[in-house]
Amino acid sequence: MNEEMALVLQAQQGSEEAFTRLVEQYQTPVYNLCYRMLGEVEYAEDAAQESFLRVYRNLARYDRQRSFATWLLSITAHYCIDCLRRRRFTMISIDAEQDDDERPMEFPDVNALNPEQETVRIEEQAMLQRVLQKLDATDRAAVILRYWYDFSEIEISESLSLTVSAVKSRLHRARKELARRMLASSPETRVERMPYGSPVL
Amino acid sequence: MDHQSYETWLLDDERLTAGQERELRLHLQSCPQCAALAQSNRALRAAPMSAPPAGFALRFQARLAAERKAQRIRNISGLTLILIVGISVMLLLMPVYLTYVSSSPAQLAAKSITDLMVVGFALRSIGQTCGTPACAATAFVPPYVWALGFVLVAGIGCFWFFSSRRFTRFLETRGRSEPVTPGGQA
Repeated sequence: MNEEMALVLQAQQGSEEAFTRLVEQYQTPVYNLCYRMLGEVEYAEDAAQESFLRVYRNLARYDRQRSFATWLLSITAHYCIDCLRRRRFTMISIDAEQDDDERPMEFPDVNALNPEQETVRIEEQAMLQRVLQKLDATDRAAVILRYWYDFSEIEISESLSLTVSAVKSRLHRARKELARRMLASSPETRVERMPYGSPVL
Repeated sequence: MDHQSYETWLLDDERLTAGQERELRLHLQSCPQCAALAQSNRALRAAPMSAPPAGFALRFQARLAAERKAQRIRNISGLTLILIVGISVMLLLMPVYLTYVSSSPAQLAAKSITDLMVVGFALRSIGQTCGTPACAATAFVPPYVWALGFVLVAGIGCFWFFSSRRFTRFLETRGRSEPVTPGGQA
């Protein structure tokens, strides 16, 4: 039995210390999933904590045949999807429209080997995060689980309660949408709109 | 090869041979859609993990403790309510019980029979009172109106149940969303 499973067993028997160690171990993956899904730091913190609470409450139901990480991220993904649906139905958030103001600003690393490349990378990541928020909640979860957590299509289907073919088509659709939006918001495209115009103008 | 095949390579993240990679690179120079797809691929692969602000586990412990305290308060309130209701029922039934205890066996038997008869008569009269209009209503009102009425009542019940649930959840979420100092983001 590995260390993680031993911790899960202890937590199932009521050890708060063991559960805290699991929280410490998985705080970054869970928080990252919430942040990528919800797009705002304060919602991400709250959702990550709520996800851990849900895991704590449902520890007795955890099937030891499954990977703990997959189960934990599945609960988190479902919670974030619920949050996004609730947010869409209950109120139209004005803050959600002003996404740039809430996001912590990242500055290029002056010690990086190529600062220009570093700036491009940061801009690209900011654009990706912005564009990710435009996707449908389940598509977004599928993309995040695939690219941040290297989940296979089968693991995604188990986590999001979908069929494998549905996951595949959702991933395709989401990736095309991401590319389309990134193409639309990249600076090169704006120049291409008037290829015969004078650079001065 | 057509655009669709290159797009499928990119979408499926297929492992390509050196020749296929060369071919794809050439296609990317002339196809903005596939180039954007390749760029989004790169961005997704290079995206880092966002770490939570420092002290996440401590904040979680505090929240867990608060949750347990709230649960304890809920349990105590529930228990108190049950006790109050139980004691009230006992106090209400006490005079009846005392009457039974203080009477002789013959008086007790006579009282029991009388009580049973009263209950029987009451039930019969309730049946008659409700039965007559119900019979009349079934004769006049067609079955589909009854079905419609039941569906309407069930619908209103469901609506009430789900809206109250959503409302309580909304209040819970509002209560919990406290601002957190941002930090450690990608």
